[in-house]
Amino acid sequence: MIKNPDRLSIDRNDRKLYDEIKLFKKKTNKEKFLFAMAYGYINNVKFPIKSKDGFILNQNLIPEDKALIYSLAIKDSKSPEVLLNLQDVYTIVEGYAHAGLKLLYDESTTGVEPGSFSLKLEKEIFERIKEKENK
Amino acid sequence: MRIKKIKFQNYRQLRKTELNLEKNTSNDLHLIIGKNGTGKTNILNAVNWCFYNDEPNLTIKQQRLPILNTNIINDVKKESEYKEVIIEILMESDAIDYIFKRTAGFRVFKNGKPINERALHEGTRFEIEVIDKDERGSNIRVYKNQDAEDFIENLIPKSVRDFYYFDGERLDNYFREATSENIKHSIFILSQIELLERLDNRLSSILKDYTREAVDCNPAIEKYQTEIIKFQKELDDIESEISECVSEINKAKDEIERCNNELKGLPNTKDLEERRKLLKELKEHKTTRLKEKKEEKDSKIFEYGIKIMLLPAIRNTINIILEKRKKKEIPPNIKNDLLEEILEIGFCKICGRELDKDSRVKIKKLIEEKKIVSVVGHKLEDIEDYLNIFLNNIVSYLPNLKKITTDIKEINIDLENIDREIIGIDKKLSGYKIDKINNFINTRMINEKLLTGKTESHGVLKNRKTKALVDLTGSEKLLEKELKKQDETLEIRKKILFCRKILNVLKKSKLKMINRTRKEIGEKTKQIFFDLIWKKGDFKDVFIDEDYMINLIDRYGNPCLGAISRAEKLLLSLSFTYALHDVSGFSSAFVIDTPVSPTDDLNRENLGNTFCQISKEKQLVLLFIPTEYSNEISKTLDPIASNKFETRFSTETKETTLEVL
Repeated sequence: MIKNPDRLSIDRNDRKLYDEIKLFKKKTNKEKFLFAMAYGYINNVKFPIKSKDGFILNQNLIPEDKALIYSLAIKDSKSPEVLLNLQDVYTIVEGYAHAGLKLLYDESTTGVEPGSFSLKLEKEIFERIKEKENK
Repeated sequence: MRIKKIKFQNYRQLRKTELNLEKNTSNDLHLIIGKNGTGKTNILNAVNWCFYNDEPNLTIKQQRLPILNTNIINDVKKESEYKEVIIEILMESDAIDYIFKRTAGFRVFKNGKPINERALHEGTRFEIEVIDKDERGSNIRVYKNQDAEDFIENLIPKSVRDFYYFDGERLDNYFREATSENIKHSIFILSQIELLERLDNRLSSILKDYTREAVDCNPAIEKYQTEIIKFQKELDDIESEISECVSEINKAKDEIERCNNELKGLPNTKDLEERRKLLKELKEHKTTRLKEKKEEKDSKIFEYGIKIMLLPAIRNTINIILEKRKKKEIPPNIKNDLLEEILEIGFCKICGRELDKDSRVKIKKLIEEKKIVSVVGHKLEDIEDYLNIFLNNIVSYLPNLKKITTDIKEINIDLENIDREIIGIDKKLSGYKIDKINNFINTRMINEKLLTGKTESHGVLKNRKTKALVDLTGSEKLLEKELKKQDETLEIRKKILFCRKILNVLKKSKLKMINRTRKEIGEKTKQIFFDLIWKKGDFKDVFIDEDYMINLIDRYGNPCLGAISRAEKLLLSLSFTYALHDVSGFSSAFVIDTPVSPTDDLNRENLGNTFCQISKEKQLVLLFIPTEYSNEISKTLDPIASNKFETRFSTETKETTLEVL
């Protein structure tokens, strides 16, 4: 029987990036991870992590966090059956977080002017809401 | 009356020289030009010393030097030698010549030892010879020492000398120093009412004697007399306070006007600086608010951003749950715990109905169904509520974010406006001496407060005066009543009443004379000023008001004394002095040191013409420094001057000579 993972992991090289991104200042590891994960998803990029480094223990995840993580895993695998294997769920969301983090780092460090990244994010989020309202 | 000659002997650096001021042309104008330190101003000091035994225009360095020429001090070798400083001024009028001579004796040795730099002053003698021209030689009156001092005081009173011998460099303060009290005093003296004043004192004393006599006849009179004295003293004190109060009010008004004129056209730096400080504080506060709002917005974007970005995934899961529920792969969204509790207590915790048999069966079935649902179904059931909450919250997120965004925009607009205003204030303040302007603003504020306070005090004093007058009149009436009671006091009563009447007439006459002199001087000042002023249309009126303040009114009807140029100030002071001379009869020459010093070329030319006009009727002695005596003024004055001298100081002999140019 496959043992369920007890934590969410990141790529070993990503820890430094998590610390450097300005947007993540004063945020917890869990908040950083969820944001990077969502950003990877919205940009449709997912890279498997090469060298695992534990980042968030399961015990620190509240039901709201699980709801988001499970939804993404279901959407990605196109089946709710993915929930039967927590390792699969974590592999999916860790991949999105890994890819999302790289994007965030690139965009936040190569931004033309300070604050432009925040504005871009805001604009993007507004568009999503409009999409939702139109539906 | 004009100065014919001044003889200097051992006076400071003027060891032995003469200044001949004969009138050689139609203009009684005499020019003395000399660099600073050559002894030019000491000519003015010598005149003052001769007349009044003081030297008001000495520099601090000169004050430390002895009046006796230092070379003379050094030449003295014997204790017995006695040296003198002598200034002799010869003056003439149509009928009389005057010779004023002041001598100060000095010894250089004391007890066989020289007395360092300062010689020992052994007293001053003053002598005036008055020579009647018609009987030259046969009618010479000589006044000595105190008699001579009294004579000069009557001829040219010391208190008005500033109106005859003045320093042009002090001109800026002329009207401030010559404020109401000085002018009032001068007018009082010039009105020549000392005789009336003496009569007033004598009569008051006689009145006291008569009253004392009356008291002896009727002791009851004493009571009223004491009261009268008391009320009279009170009245005098109040009048003195009123006079002081009025003087301070005038000074405050003068200061306010001066500050207003200095501040005319200048920004109100104090208010602007305060506004600037306030804006800076506001900017700091707004900047902090902006930072907080931005952080709040970033935090909201972060928090909701995750859910919004994952919105397709969330919606997809909710759809899956709904579908599964339709297929009964997920039981209704009711918690197992709740169902088991309802079974146990026997009634519905939601609607409160008691459970019947059918209901119990249905609930048991539902619990069974929930048990057999797959692990996936359970997991989906667990997250369903949260996903729905996310969806609902996202709807309220937008207005929330919009509100924060609007707040940020408004703060940014406020900050732009604040910056714009600060830049505007900086522009307004740039190029100005802010400390100087603030000083004027503060002075004005202090004097405005003083004026308000003193005006109130003035009102109170006036009321007190009215009351004291009522008290005094009451006591006088009672006294009169008492006097009437006895026949033997009848004669004294008549005398007392007579004295009182005369005293009243005297008081009124004095007031009339002073007022007439004031008006005459005011009118004469106006006439001379308007005759000589070069910008005729700029001014409307000149007058001396009841508070003895000189007022100059511009063409718009506003007081403008503080705002006029230095040249115009000089002209006004000359006009005023000229008017004083004319009205008073205390005629003397004008001696003016550095008369045009800080004025520009155009005004120098104008003043040159003014001096030309004045010197046609009056002797004018002008002491210039060479830079002051520029082409603009020399081209006007050179051709008409009766005399032109240069003061030269030899560094070898340390003495000044007067060279005729």
